[in-house]
Amino acid sequence: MSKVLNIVKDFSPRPYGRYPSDGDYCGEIFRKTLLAPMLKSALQNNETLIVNLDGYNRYGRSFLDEAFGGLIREEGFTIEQLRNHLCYKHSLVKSIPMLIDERIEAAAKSTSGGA
Amino acid sequence: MRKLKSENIPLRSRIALKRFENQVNRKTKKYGRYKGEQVQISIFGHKIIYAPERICLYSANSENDQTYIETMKFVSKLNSVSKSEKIFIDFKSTIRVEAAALLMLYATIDNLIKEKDIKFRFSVPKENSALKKLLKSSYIYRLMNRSQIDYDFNNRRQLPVITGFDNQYVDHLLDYIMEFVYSDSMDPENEHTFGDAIQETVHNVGLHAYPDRDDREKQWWLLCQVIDNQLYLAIYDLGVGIPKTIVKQSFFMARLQNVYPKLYEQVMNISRGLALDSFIPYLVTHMTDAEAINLSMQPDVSSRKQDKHGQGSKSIKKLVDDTDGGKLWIFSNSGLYFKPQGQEPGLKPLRKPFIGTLVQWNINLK
Repeated sequence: MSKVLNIVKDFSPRPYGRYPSDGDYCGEIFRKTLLAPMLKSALQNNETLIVNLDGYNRYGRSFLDEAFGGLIREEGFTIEQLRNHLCYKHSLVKSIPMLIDERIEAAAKSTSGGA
Repeated sequence: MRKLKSENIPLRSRIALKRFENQVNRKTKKYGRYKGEQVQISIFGHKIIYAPERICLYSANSENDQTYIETMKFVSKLNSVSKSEKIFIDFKSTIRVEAAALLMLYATIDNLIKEKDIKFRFSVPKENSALKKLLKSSYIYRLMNRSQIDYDFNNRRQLPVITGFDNQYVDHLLDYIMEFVYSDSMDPENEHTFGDAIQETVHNVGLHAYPDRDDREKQWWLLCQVIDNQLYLAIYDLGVGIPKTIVKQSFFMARLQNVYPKLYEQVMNISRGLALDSFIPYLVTHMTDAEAINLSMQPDVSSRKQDKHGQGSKSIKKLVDDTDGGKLWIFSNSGLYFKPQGQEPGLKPLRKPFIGTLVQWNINLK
């Protein structure tokens, strides 16, 4: 079983920035209001959350780092939980999921909760 | 002619002889040689400021940096005017204005109008049509005339200088670059590289340039122009400068240790038990501003939680390394960072401090 979170449809067609001071469509608000609660629910139900990033090709590094890296740094998820229950994809820009991989790895190294 | 009285003749002769001797003595001398060049200082109640022959920043990276020095002197003169003063900029000697300097000039004038209510007039010689066109298309004319300024991103014409806050206009600008510069042939990967770099640069302005200002005061100016098959993309801010803010960043010490280990050791020796702020003055005297900019451009060097900040530099460098003929210039305070595609950066001290920070990419268009 899996649930799908579509950033462009469910959050904003133009996400930007790291903190609320950068605007309402920043990484922190996305993580706190959608990504983390849905991932928690997926963990509880032993499901996979699929984050679909299609529809926008200009994601900034700060947004992706705060949203996905913040799952480990701020929300207390482990990298194993993310590996088992979180999937993210962009059908046109392969470097976006690669960048998310990199930020999750960096966040895991920066916290004792990471693998 | 009146006949002279005979008793006046010797006196007149002596005066004539003296005048002749004086003329002979002064024949090789110049009058007013200690007064300097005579320049008109005002016109119609406006103080005249003469623009230099070349308004250019790039010479800062060459052995002869005189045009950079002259440009900065010109900008400093503009900035030194008093509140509500009337200024006349005379471009009669100017033969060339280059992209980055044009952006800086625009921002300087814009800021002076807002902060000091300066009223500007200007003159460009009739025969210098190229300069007239450049000042007009960049909207410097409109700015100095205090005309309404709107941006049209749906037109193939060169964009003027754009100013905004945060990510205002960033998507419009990227749409423009994709449609009119790359003729809709930019692939999604490239779009992400451009989008990420520009977003992170304006995000950095908000974060680091104006640490003590409200969000609506964190202004940037941007110029996107195609000149001789090169795309020039420059973003300028009037903030405190990278070297002043980098030392306060949480990732600073880890990067200092990795890139400048000797300096790190010196700092550690003198700073035991003291807060970071207390040895900033030591760093300022032992690290050049160019080295400080270089530190801001380093990737993560530790695995600390605080390393999440300072990510923008990777996005900024990626655009240069991923694009053909890419070059990155960063001017900030007294330092210049210059990085050509695939090469190590060059660091250079600036003889005359730069006002604010300018990040520029030059990218060859295929």
